[in-house]
Amino acid sequence: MDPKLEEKFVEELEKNQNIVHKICRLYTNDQDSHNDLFQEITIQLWKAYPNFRGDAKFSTWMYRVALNTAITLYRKSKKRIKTEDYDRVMFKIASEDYDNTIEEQLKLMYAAVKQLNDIDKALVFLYLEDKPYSEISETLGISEVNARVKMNRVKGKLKQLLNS
Amino acid sequence: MDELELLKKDWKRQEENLPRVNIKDIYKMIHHKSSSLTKWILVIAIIEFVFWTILSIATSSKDSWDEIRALHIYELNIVLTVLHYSVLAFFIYWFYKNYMLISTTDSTKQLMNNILRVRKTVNYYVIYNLAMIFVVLVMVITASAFYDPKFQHVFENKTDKGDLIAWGPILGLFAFMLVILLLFWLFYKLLYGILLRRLRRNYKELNKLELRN
Repeated sequence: MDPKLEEKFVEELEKNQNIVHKICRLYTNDQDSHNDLFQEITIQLWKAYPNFRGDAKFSTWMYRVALNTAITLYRKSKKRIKTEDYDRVMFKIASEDYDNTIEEQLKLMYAAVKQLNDIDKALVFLYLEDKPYSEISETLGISEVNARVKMNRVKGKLKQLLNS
Repeated sequence: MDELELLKKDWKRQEENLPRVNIKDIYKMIHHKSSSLTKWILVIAIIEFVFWTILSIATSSKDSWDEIRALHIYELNIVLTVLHYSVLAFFIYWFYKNYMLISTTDSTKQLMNNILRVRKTVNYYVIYNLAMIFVVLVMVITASAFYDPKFQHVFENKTDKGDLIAWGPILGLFAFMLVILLLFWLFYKLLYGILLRRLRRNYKELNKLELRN
């Protein structure tokens, strides 16, 4: 093993760990599952790291591996928890910045996003991360047109969920 | 969709509230999963080693050594014991090496190779132990047949009544040996089987990942 490789990986992950935490928050409902998924993603990233050639940005590559893990590996091993802990998902919002209506709206939005399927969640996640469609399509392995069409459908789904 | 834009703004704010994992924890995480199974193999082997050693010290007495002397296998017993403990020490070293190898592997392919290596080592270990038990059983039974008065009595009786009857006790002894070996085989199967099965599952998962890349 190359200790330098390991050191570099750990440093990069430490720097970019917010990405993984955000994915964990979207895909899990309690702190234990969050930590489990974080560890699982870390292990998968480390396993895949020798194949990371550095021609893409570390964070871009990380989105791909981390989302893949959340969608495929994690789903297989962990059953979903039904009780949704929205307070944890709903991140603490400074009260002076928002009035109650906006807070309520956000709460409903988070709840709606949590109800989406795993692939749609990944799409919304990348959208919220402000990624251009070219990058979304590359990360999820679909065409750009397809990504746009899917995103529009997801928006429709979210609207439906909000109105129901 | 306005709500989604609202969410996007809020999404950026939440960065401040995200948990942080430190570098030490990340190191722990990447070393944890694949090494824990091999660590248990090492730990169980050491516990087993200590258990048998304590058992053999606890059960040995002047009488038992006298019995061994009476059977004329005293020297052979010493040689076998020394050999046995050397081989066990070697295996424990081997398990330790496997553990170190696996906890410092970086590529999937290498990890897969190491998993195969661990499985092979454990299999050798079980085969060696069963072979040793077989050798000791054969040694004790043969020595008893020659030097134990009770056994000699049986053999003398046999020669009086003819060859046919002589097979009875011999077959009985064989059955006894088989049962003992089977019990030990089950014991090892239970002790290491679970860990090996998990390792195999990891191997299969890794194989899938490797194919996907």
